[in-house]
This record gives sequence, C-alpha cells and structure tokens, in this order.
Amino acid sequence: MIRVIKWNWQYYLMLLPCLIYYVIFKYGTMYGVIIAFKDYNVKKGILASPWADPLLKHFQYFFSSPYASVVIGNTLKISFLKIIFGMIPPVILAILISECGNKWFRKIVQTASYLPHFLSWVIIYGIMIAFFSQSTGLINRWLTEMGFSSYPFLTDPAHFQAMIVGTDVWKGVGWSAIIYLAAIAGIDTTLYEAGIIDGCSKLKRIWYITLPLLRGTFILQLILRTGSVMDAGFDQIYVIATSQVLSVSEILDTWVFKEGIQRMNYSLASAVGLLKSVISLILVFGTNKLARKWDEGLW
Amino acid sequence: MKRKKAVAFLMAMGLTFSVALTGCGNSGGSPDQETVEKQAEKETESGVSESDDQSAKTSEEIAELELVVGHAVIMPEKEDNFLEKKIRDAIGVDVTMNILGAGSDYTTALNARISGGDIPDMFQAPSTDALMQYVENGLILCLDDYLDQLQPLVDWVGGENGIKPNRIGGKLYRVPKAPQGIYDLLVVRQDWLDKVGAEVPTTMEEALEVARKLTFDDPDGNGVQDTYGFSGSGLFGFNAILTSYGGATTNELYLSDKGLTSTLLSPRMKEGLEMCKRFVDAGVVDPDIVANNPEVLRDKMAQCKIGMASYDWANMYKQINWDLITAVDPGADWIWMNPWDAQTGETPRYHIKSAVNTIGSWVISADVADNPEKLDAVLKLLNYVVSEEGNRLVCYGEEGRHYNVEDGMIVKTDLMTTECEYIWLYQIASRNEMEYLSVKFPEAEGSIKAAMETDRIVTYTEAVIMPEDFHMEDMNKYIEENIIGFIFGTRPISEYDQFIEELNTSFGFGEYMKIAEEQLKEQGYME
Repeated sequence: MIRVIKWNWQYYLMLLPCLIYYVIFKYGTMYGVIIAFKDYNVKKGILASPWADPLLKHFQYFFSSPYASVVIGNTLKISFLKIIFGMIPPVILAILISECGNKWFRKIVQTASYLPHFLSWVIIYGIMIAFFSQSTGLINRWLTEMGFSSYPFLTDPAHFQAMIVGTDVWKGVGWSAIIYLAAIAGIDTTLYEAGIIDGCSKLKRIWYITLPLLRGTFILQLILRTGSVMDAGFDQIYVIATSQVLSVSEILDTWVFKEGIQRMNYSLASAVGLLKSVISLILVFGTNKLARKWDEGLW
Repeated sequence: MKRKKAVAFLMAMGLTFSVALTGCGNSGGSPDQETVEKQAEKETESGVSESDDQSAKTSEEIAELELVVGHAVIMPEKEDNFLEKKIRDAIGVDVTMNILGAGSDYTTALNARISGGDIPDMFQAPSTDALMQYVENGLILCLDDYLDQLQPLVDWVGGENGIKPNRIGGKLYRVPKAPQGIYDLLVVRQDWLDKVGAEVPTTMEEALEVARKLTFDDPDGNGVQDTYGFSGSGLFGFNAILTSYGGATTNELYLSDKGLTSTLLSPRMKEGLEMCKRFVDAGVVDPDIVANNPEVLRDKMAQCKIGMASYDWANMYKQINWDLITAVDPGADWIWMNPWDAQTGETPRYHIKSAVNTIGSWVISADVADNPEKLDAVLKLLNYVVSEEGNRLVCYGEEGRHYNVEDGMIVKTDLMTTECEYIWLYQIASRNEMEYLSVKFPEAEGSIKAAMETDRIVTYTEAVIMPEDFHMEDMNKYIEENIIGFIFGTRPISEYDQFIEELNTSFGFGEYMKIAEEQLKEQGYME
C-alpha cells in the first residue's frame, strides 16, 4: 500500500485538495447533526444547548404530527413516480437522437431538449401559469373558445402530482439523455456492422445491441436516483404548490421548511434531515446489492 | 530522471494549489474581499471632508443602531437618507435601516441571520409565532423593566390600556404602538352594474344574483364571456361571505354572547360555507381566487375581468394603484360596498380585525441591555418617534420641503410623494392613523373612512400562545385544506361536524380552545 502511494505520490498530492475539502466541509460540519438530539438554542450554540429530554423528542414530535404519514406518503409517491416516469424517456430520446441521420437536426434537437434543465423552477412556474392557469392560461382559453369548460390543471388535487411529475420529466429529459448518448457513442461500432451483415433491421439492432449495452448506465442512474428518493424536489413543489393541493403536495422537505426552518425549530429540521439521510443510505445500499445480482453494482 | 521528477513535483504542486486557489476564489474568499473593498470605499466616500480625529470623536459620542425590516421598499443610500440625518441631529443616535427581503423571505432571512448570531439591535417581528421562538431563545428584550424610562411612549399609546394589546402572554416584548387601521374593503364596478341593470347588492342573495349578471351578461360588452362576478386575493376573499355568518376561512377566536368561541364553531358556519359553495357552483367566482395575490388581482381588475372583489383600499385607491386599475379602461368606476347581510338577524360584518397589535411590531435585541450606550440610544429613539417633532418627521418628512402647515393643517408637497416613500418604515410606534392617511392619500379619504367604519369580527387569536409540543401549524394547515374542500366541493358540507370531530381527536382542537380561554382570562380579555 505504502509502496503504491510512494510510487504514485504525485497523483495522491493532486487528490489532496479534494480530500481536504471533504474533511473540512462534509465531515467536519457533520458534528452539527447532534442538534437533532438537543434543544438547540441559537444564543447558546451547538455544544452548550441542553440535550433534548427525551433524547428522541424531535423525532417523536415529527411522528406524532397528524401530517407525518401524509407527508412521508406524498414524498415516496412523488419520488417513485418521478423515477418510474423519468427513467425511460431519456433512454428513448437518446436512442432517437443517436439514430437520427441528419447531423444538423440532431444538434438542434439535443440542445433544445436539454435547455429546460437550466431554467429555474420559478421560471417554469411562470410558464406553467401562462399555459395552465384556469382564468388566464392559454390552454384554458382554447378550451373555452372551443366550447368546453375550463379545467383547473394547477389546483385540482387529483392531477397535481401528475403535473409535478410531468414538468419534472419535461425539464430533465434532455439533460439525462446526455449520459445515455455518451454511452451509445462508446458502443463498439463493429457490433452494429456485424448486425447489419447478419441482416438485423434498425429496430432489431437497437433491441439486441444498444439496449443491452445501456443496461449498466441505466442501473447506475437508478442507484443514484434511489439515493435521493426522500427528496421529492423541494424547490419545484415549494414554488408550484398552492394551499388547494396541500393534501397531495406537502412533502418532507416542505414540511420541514415550514415547521423547522421558518419557525427556527432547527432541532426538528435536523432530526427529520437525519432520518431522511439514513433512509436514503439504506436505499442506496439496498439497490446496489440488488444490482450486483446482475453484476451491475456500483461498487 | 531527476529532472523528470522535479517537473512532476512542480506540476503536481501547481495543480494542487491552483485548485485550492480557485476554490477559495469562488466560495470563501471573494465575498469577504468584496465587503472589505466596499467598506473601504464607503469610508473614503463619507470621510473625505472630515479630518481623522474629528470622525473618531463623533463615533465616540454617537451610538449606532441597526434596524432591520422586511418590506419591498427601496431605501436611499445612507448619505442621501435625510431622515436618518435628522434623527442623528435631534437625538445623537446614528440609525441605519436595513431591508432584508419581503414577505416570508423576510422570516427566512431574518432567522438565518439570527441563527448566525448576528442579531440586529431592533427589528420587526415577522409574526407572533416567530417572536415566540425568539423569546424562547432569550433573544428579545422585555420592555416591562424600562417602562418608567419610556413615559412619552406610554402616553402616546394611551397608558396601560394602549399597551395591553401589544403584550404577548402578559409580557411586553413588542414596542407598543398606536392601533393601525384595517384596510380590507368590498368593492364593485358601478359602471358594470349600470350596464347589466343591477343595484349595489346589500344581501348575500342579491350579491349572488349580481355576481351572476356580472359573469354571464357580458358587462364589458366584448361579446366574449370572460368576466368573473367575484374575486379576492387568496382564500381570505371568502371572508366577504363567511364573516357575516360569524365564520371565517381560518380559525379565529372571538367573543360572542355565549363566551369565547371560534369562527369554526359558529352555529351558522355551515350556512356560510353553503353560500360560498353556491357562489362557486354558479361559476361566478374567479377560479384562481386562492392563488391570487394583491398584485395579480389588481392586474385582473385592470384587465376588466372582475366585477366585485374583496380587496383593500390601499391597493386600490392610492393614486399610483388607481392609475394602474384604470389604465386599460379609464371608465372603470370602482366603488365600495357595505358588508353583505346574511339575513340571519345579526349585524353583517366583513372580515376580521385583531384585538392584538401584531402586524409590523418592532422588538429589541436582548443584547442591547448589556450595552448601556445602545440601551440609552434605543430608549431615546423610541421616545423621539412619538414626540410631536419626531412623529411628524417619520410621518411627513421635513417641514417646508415635504409638507407645509396651513391653518394648523398639514398639506403635502409634491416632494413628499417622490422623496418620502420609505420614511413610514421609521414609524416604530405607528402614527395617528386617520390624520396621517388623509394627509398622505387625500385622494383615498372616502375609502379609508369606509374601511375604518366597516363592522368586523374582533379576534383574539393572536393573544393565545400554545405550548411547544402542540401541532399548531399542522392544525391550521388541516383547517385551510378542509375549508377549501368544503367551498370548492371536494368534501361535502354535510361532513362539517365530522371535520370538527377530526380536529378534536387528531389535532387537539378542544384542548386548544380550553387553553385559549384560560390565557384570555389571565390576560384580562374576558371574564
């Protein structure tokens, strides 16, 4: 081990800033998590604040909230819907783009499709209002002008989660496709040539060559996304949700923001944060273990 | 070989440190540097004419106070702030007002600043809830110990009776202030009423009928059905209906002839919800009413989409806003109405009015008590803004420049409109509301009076402080969610009693009412 380091010490030296960064900014600040078990007092600071009595007081407070089950349910539902509906479209888009013969058209489509990734949710909310608002939105205008009645796209609890998932897919599809495009570009072209010689149609080539070779990337993406299952997208939902759809829009992060951060209840906020992290960690390990069954694990 | 090693070493070091340096440059280093530079800039700007020992002398004598507020107001540069200069000349206190976001951003920004240990000397408490958090953390100065030094202020609010509404749990953390008016007002377009042949409605049934006409009879005459009879800014808009039934869209405590009750427990609440639902079912309510905010609603009014609205005079009749509202249709003739009568035998009432002063109250950092100079400065400032000279300054600006006194009456000049947009922030103990508003907004005088004279439900909700482990936020959320459900038909009103039962069993509403009664008795609001 030491010999290896000695031999390649230049590389290790280059790695050093990164390590120092993690030690200082990631692990060093981690001791602050103890306020989840304390009655954090701003004036006294982290160490001098008294321990919570009982120690798990803030966890108990969260679980005793009548909203706890709703909030956890919404978080998981929205997250899983985002994974289910958000994983496949980028693969399809990537294959479509890579199969497109016209280079000029391909570039335009690719750029246009990943552009929304750079828009903030506030801007997207503005766009959504312009299209979907019941009183002023474009789509409802068309509907009423064609003789139909207007529809509350943004304020109907029955379809709110669909709006959230839909806009999330719209925003992220182009960006996520990039990684698949890279993976497709890395596929050995001789495989395709062999396929052509053996008489494979274009669809068959996609099915028997492209898709199986994208499996690794796909599973990697899946593992990464399960890691963030407890984050259902705070900024998106905080911006878009109104009180009319509260029962389906309140997620862990928005609840913590309102109860914890805005009310200076930092102990509660970090207790729920800690809970989230632990669950996410378990999920990542779990998915990885599952993935290793197909020899595709991340580690 | 040796040379190769040396090159490798240099390259590795170079890379390492360039990474480290860029890292610093982007995150940690530059803001500090910027502030240092800015400070240096400021110092040179302000200190050009003064000699060194002179400025040292003034900083020794003059106490500095930082005041923080959360409003969307544009402040002038410190050098151009005539008000702060005047205060400095008058009482020798160097006040600096800083703005920290607006609305709920203010709460977040203020909390972040306070958690960082950087507590402003004085700041506006965002809400009772937030204030209680600060008090629990020992951040706020209790003013009860200093009342003897604040005699002018005590006199200004009218003695102990005037102080009481500012107390919280019996203690005085808020700087006492004169009561401020409620602005909410019901408005209707008279020119549209004439067009569809309707009168100003006085009862609920009439209001519903008028709303129908204003929706379906094409009052703007463009041949397209694109108007709504009724709108408001947020769910509160339905208080135009509910408060006449003794209810409201939120849980509000008030005193009825049977003692303490909540708007949710009003025997006529169900009737009120039915009425709201009839409005909604008739298709006359702006479907985005819950999502509206005052600016959005004003835009819709200006675009001739709304016939009646639950709004407020300030957003409507102040000249700048009136110009916006009549920009598209100069003939738009908005007038205000009396509250709609629910014909239940009770006085029609519109909206609620808190018996407790909560909005925009100032509080003082507890740290100020450790610094005698600062404490003295705070007391001086509080007494100054209620003195005749000081109060005129924070209300109207400089005499001769921003206003003139003619026959004992204050008359504003044009400069008041342009130069004094921010000075109301300094009205720490409020103002003589009626005089102030009629000087400042003579164009809106009628609507201001109408808003002040409107009957409202007087609430005590803000005087009740619930224990830490009570899920108040969740309860309010559940109430809001369900009231919306009842009004928009996602939950049948026949389940209303069940809803109250749920509040009792899952959210401890019964316990809340009990605690509220005890506390209100303790504070002398009821017997």
